[in-house]
Amino acid sequence: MKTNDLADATAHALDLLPPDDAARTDPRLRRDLLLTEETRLTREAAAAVWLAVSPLRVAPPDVLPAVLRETGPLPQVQLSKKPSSAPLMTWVGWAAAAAFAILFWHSRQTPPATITRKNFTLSEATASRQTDTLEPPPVTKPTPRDERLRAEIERLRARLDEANKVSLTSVPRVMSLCSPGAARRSPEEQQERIHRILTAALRSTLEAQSGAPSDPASLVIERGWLLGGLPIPADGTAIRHRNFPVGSWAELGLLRSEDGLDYYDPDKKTLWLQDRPQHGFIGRQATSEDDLTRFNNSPERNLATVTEIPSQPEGFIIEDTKNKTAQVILDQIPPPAPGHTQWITYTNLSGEIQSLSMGDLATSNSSNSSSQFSANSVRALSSGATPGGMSFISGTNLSAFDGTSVFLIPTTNGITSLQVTEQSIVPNGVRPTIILQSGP
Amino acid sequence: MGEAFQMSEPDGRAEARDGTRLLARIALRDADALAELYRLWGDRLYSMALHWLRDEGSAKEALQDCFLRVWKKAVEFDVAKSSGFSWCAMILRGLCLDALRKRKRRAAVWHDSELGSLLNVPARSGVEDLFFRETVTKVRAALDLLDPAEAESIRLALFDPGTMEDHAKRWGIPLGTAKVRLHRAMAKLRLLLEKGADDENQ
Repeated sequence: MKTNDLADATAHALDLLPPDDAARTDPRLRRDLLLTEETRLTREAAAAVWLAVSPLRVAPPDVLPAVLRETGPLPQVQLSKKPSSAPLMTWVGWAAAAAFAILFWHSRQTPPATITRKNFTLSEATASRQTDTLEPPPVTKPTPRDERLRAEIERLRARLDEANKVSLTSVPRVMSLCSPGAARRSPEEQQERIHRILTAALRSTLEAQSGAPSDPASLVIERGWLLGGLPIPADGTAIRHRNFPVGSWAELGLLRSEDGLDYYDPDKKTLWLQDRPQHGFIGRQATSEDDLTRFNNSPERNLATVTEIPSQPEGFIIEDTKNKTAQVILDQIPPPAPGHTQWITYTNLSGEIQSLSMGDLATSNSSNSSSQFSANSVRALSSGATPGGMSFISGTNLSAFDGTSVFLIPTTNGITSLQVTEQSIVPNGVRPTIILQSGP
Repeated sequence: MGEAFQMSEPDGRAEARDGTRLLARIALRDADALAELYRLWGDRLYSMALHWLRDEGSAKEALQDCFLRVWKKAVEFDVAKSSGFSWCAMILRGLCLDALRKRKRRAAVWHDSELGSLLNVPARSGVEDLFFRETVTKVRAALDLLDPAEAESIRLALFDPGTMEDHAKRWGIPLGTAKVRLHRAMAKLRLLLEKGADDENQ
């Protein structure tokens, strides 16, 4: 072994190789036994010296709790004073999923080349806008959480950039699903409905953290909104919202002041006042001293459409032929009857039928975060028209909320039809009930 | 760390074994094991970060990031390649290097004179944990036997945030020569550490 190689291994062990040094990419440093041993021994000696020369100090007491908080199980979104990254990560996942789906929808409506990061907003409080404002103002030193968020944003932006390059020939197909006999929505209604579902998904997740010691607000909302409004803490303290959804006040059922600066939530009796120095809003309980008559912009017209609760199950498939995936949105699917289970079955262009148990989907959904699932309990179909036989399918469950589920499934050969059905767990000769189906 | 001395210090394996066992549990997403590892090594790693970074806030951040990386990367830990403690220390080293390199880029003038005292083994006052006492003793003895040029090479290599290219410029020698100089100094240090371990076992 040449001394130079051993010298490279020593420098490599201590991360001292210059960025353009050829040794950085020399595979022998990772494979050659002598060189890897040199690396190991160098690191052991370096760690020993570093340890020995460092006077022993007690670590700050709050590091371990902070570490464990980051590594803990994903909690449900809640307005607690505990900082938590889980809602953030859930939100980011949703932002990515929703913005991507929305972008695809828009790309179907307009030439993709014209899509920019700024103009694929679906409504005023949409994924795209929130994505662009996702990065909070740099009020503090970046934390590991910030770094991860930044990485997520970059990933999302990369996906959006990639989507911008999608040619017209690979524009995704959108297929609607509805109950047998139900009237199908027009394309415009479909678009509106998808937007509404995904926007609701975004709002239903929320990032909150405790206020800084110097902040009069006891809770800081980075972004997001709860359907039904944000409750003010019972102790009368205020909430700060860094990215208040000013663009969707009407949809959220808020009243806007005459000057257009402040907002009032009549349901929660909460005033949201612009906090100019902090570039956000402060929410506090309205008191008898507040002049509420200045909030005279009624959102009745918009509210009426927002509060429309669909009573019929419906769904949409946004198929991305370029990436060979389909984002499936299922809304208001009723829970299965006792002793029954629900299945998603779809047929591809080759005539293959693939099937997935909704039970698997629900199980994978328990943490309300993205997760992988696979259908390992493929049922036996009576149909003989399955030239390729039955396939196991797997997918990624993106999230579920308020009766809506969104997940990705692979589509190597295009979806021609999809059904959501329910049938008895124990075969009883009864034909499956169709809950949703595609096509006319 | 004790891996460097394992050949002649069979009992030294205990330390690595404990870390290994905990890291194996952490790889299985056992948060209790992570907390246990923190209690075992948290103070020690914080001390190392603080000694190098000379800033409590930065050291605390480095420690926190270090344990988060341990949590994420424990599945990659290979006991054949490193002891548990050295593996964690090298993660911390990377974080400290990043912090210092950023600090150096931002600073109009980089005062590397502060690094002068970084290679001095401090006097212990009875608070030293037993687990690492032998290591400290061996390192002190080994450093005492290095000549000034070797000690300088090691001091820069371990504590200056520059790369070998920077060190070569500082020494006024080609990059390849600088690498060899460092390699020889580290090799001698390792030899002295092993010798110290042998002497203790005799």
